[in-house]
Amino acid sequence: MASEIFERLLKEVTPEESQFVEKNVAISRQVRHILAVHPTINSQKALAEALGKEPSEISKWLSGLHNIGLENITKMEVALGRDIILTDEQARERYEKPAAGYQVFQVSRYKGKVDNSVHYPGWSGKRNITYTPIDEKNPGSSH
Amino acid sequence: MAKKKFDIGKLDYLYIRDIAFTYSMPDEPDIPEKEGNPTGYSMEIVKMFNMEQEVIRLVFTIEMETKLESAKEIRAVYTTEHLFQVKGLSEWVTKAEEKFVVDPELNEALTIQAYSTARGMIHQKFNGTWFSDFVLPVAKSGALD
Repeated sequence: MASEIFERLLKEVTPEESQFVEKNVAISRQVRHILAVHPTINSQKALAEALGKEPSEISKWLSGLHNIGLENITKMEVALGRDIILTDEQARERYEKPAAGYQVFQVSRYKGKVDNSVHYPGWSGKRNITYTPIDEKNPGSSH
Repeated sequence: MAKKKFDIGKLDYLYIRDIAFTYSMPDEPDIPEKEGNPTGYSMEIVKMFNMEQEVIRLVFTIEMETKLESAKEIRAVYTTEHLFQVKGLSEWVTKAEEKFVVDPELNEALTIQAYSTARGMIHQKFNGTWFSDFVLPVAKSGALD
């Protein structure tokens, strides 16, 4: 009975609502990850202090259900000195651009496959894992 | 004249660091018990050198995914950076047709070192996640270059 009600409620969730919660949870996880490694602001309480907010407010923001809003995300980014969200273009610009003075000489890509049907006796987690090259290019002096 | 052979003793591992890590798992109640392995993955190795400083930098990225029955995915991307000092680097780099070519033995040594190190880092990083049992396969000589 309970599962039927749950199934019915689940069907009533719109794709927008689902996407909203997914994005919110991803942002919340990212903030928690930054807090875990930040040298000074390493707790929700410390973040609340840095922003001049109540800890309960930060807790609400990071619940995954609250509409944090771009303004508050930006405030957290400034306080933490780290980006919380990046567009695809920004991420590529940041992580794919070679550091100054460096010359890219090889980019190799591989596609891997895991055969979860292959079990190794005595090693429950071990599966047959393989890879094959899928692309390779030498950018030469253009970078 | 016999071709000069690269001496691996001229290679120093300067540093290793995390560059980026994302792990996303859909919030749904019917996710089965964790399997410990992805269903598929891809890797990218970007190699670059700085001739003045005699260093070679490798950026290793792995992307893993598992498709759930609900068609949603568990995904993770992890990027690590590996910096090597190569004494006398200019001896091992040639330029042909506007492309830089690094000595195959040096290139392979760099790849194997970074790949093996990344294997351990990946295993540690994904401890406690859906991909906790994932172990990169042993690389055959030359297969990653």
